[in-house]
Amino acid sequence: MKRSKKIKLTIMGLSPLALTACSDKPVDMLVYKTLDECASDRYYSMDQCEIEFKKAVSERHKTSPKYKYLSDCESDFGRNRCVDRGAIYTPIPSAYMLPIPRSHQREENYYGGSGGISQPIYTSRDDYGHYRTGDNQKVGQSGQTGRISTSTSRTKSPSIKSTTVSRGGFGSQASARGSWGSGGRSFGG
Amino acid sequence: MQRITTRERQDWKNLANMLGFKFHTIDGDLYWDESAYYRFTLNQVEKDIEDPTEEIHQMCMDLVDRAVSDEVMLKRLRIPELHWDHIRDSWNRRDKHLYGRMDFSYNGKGPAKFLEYNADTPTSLYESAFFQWVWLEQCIERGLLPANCDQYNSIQEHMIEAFAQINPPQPLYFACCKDTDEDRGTVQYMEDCAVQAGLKTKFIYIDDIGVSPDGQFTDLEGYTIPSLFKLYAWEWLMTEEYGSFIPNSDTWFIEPAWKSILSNKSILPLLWELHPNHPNLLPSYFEDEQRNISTHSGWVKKPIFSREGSNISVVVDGNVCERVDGPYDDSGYILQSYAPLPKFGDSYTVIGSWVVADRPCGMSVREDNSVITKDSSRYLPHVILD
Repeated sequence: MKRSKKIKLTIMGLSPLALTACSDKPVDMLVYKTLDECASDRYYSMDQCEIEFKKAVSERHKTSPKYKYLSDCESDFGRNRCVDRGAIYTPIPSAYMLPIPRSHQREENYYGGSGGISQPIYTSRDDYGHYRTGDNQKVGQSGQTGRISTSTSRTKSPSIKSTTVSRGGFGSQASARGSWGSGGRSFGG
Repeated sequence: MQRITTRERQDWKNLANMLGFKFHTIDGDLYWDESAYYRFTLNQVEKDIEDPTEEIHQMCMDLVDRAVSDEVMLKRLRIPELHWDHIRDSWNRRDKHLYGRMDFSYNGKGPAKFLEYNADTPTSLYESAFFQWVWLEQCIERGLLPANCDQYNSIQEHMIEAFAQINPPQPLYFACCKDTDEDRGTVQYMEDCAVQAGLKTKFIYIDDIGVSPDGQFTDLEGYTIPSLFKLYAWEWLMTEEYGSFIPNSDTWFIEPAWKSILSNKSILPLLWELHPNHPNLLPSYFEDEQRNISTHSGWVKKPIFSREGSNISVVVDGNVCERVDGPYDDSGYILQSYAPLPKFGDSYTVIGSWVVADRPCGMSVREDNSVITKDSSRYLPHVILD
């Protein structure tokens, strides 16, 4: 047979098949505010905690929300909750979220998805009650320590909140050519 | 290869609307046309379309490999110098590509002639991969076609597999221009395939993309764009205001930057140089090599960058016999020997052959009233029946 045996749509149209596929798997992660908190829990030794915290900090350079103005950052995260990182302001993490070590996943007959990456988490001014990732996904109650349940999509390297300084720098050629005659019902081809 | 008139499914417009196919009729003109279909033998599909598609795709990949490190070629391809390095990087990293459509002139006999490769922003994907498939299944179910009819079309399953393989940083944003149902429908369908592959997706219009203080592309809420499928030509992205941010951006592009080499009509003379007299290639030359075409009685002048048949002229025995005006007259031209499209009734027919990742996996048939296939063309389904 030269054709697909079975195909369907999930998000397009009003077909009876229009159920959104859920690819998110549950996963447990660990949340700590300090190294001591981390080391006193049963998952990581002090040395391992330091390694994971370092990973989270380097992740922070990539994935923390970034702002051009201190006032914008503080309006999202609160007064004195932001630092200057050289022409860019970023919020101070409230805690760090780490994956469960593989050894424990085995011991505990662990069925969660494979863990995410070590990364900082934040509390924002409009929702002090929850920790959020760099891309603003809720990952448990603020103040919580130790093991929490979340989902794999929230534990991957996030897309980042940033200040946009300009918009509309793409699209000019399509609009220029689209106005030509009657043409241009597609800019693909 | 035959054109066979047939009964339409009475409820097809309703079904199209239900299934998100909003562009089946465009500005009052029929685009999806099931009043007829094309019938091919399995041998025609496999020997004359599928095999050459695979071979030409490999020739194209080989061409990219040469071009990325050859400044003379990059210049002939009219790629701005600012982008040479990141195009080369994207190739050397082997950034995965998604899909493309080759167009062929083919009448059922002899070697199909390769007209061009839309390897960057092909449309007519939804109707080829999905709606054409539904048409065949329903026609068999309703007894309009024999049950042993098949179709050269496993495009959707390969698209889903390719998205899963690429597995870009997420969310993967899908982008196209505003005010075109056809492009919006095409990217919505692709997004559907990506969701079925388990990816997290979002949509943004090309015109709404922003830039952050550190030069990263952002969405309307200010989040950076980890990966972007853009139904918007690389040659435009590279030359527009934000083009200069691309080399240093962290955004993962689909198609990757090296695809800008293949979506370019300059590959036609370059392929002819590398593979002269290949049975599926047409003699092709750059504009400044015009002396070479005198021996060919008919030739076609195509802009290096163009869409939907615009700014193409067909010259036979020194006379322009067909010309389409358009907005793509600013990029230079190539000349290609004329391989007239076969005529079935009043229509000229062009074959589209789909490549997903590196695999040929489907076919589409479009008809136009003139020898140049334009955006007024109609889409007709096909079957394989020996």
